[in-house]
Amino acid sequence: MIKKYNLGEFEEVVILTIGILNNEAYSVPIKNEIESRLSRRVSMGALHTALKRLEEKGYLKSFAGEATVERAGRPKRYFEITAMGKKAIAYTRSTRDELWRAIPKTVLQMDRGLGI
Amino acid sequence: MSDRRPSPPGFFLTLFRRFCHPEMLDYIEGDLMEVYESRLKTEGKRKADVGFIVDVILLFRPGIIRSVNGFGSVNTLGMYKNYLKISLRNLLRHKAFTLITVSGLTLGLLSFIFITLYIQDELSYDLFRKDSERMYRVLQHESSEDGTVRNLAAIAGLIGKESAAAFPEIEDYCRFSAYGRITMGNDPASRSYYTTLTADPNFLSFFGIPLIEGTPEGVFKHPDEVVISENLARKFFGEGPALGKRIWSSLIKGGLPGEFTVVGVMENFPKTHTCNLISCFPKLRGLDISIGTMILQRQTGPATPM
Repeated sequence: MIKKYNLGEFEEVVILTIGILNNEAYSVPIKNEIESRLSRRVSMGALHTALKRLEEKGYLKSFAGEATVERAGRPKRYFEITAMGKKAIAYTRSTRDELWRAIPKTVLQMDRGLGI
Repeated sequence: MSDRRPSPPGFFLTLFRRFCHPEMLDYIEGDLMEVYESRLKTEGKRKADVGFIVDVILLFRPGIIRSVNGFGSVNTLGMYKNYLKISLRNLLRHKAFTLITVSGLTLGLLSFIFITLYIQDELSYDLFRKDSERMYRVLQHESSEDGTVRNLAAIAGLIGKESAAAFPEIEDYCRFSAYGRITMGNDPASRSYYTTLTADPNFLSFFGIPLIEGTPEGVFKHPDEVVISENLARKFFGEGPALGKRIWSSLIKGGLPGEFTVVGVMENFPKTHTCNLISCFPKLRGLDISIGTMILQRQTGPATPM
């Protein structure tokens, strides 16, 4: 059975970041991590929408964290990747790799080479 | 402990609280506050405020808005369907009552439609005549010895003439008679029979029937002449003028089927009449008994029943 994991680019980045953070992933660290690693501005709205969608698709699971003073007494929401989420990113990675391998060598020849 | 808690712009905070989906409100608000605090430390209050405002605005997204105040999509079609379903179920719960009511309504509606059609049909007669309220048809009311009573439309031709002379209330009269259907047509192949009328000379003016070709004075002078309807003219003579042309007919004139000259073309009668041709035979046998006699009452004061 061919399952279609339709994963957007930003969603993929979010899932990977959650994997990096490894139990410390709630919205603010995710945002900071993406911003620092990819040097792109992430708005909280986009992030939260993506997180909600991923959770609906079943790739993420969330659990509540403690409330702190900085958050004006509001609780945190931690995310972790589910088994299906792991399959999804693995699938995405393998399809990308296949596409890379299928490109003829001459197209990608650059000065420093790409190490294919 | 420390109550020196600078708070983000209150308006935007309440705005956010209002539009955010209740499920996520707490978490996102917590995030907003945390980010605000960290920004406060690094960049100062003004930048933190601005950042907060920008974040709230950027949070105005379909996924986060309490998009539909019901946690679901607005399904008006579903509402209508449900409405119909429930009403149908209600009806079916009392079958007999429903049956009686619905059939009663159907009958009522049908009757209304039929009556309307009937009345429209009835009122569509006699539309040519501009004075139709003043016109009456003279009938014969005959009772025979064994008690049967009949109303006859055909009466003697002279009654019209004499009564117009005797009663001042009668302004004018007009008689007509029908030969039924006679065969007409120049080309033997396209002959067919048509209903015809024979009438008094004032027929056209009495009923106000306009003539398409020919003059009102020029018609009905000679027994040899006919006025035909527009349909017939088109059929026999095409689009050209029909005046002066001859039509063969099976009416016997002097022992042989005779031809008639067209002296006028009149407009078609409305659908409720089917007369196609009129000719005027004042002395021919036809008008001894006239099928119809119409009288026009003089217009003075209230109508007196005749």
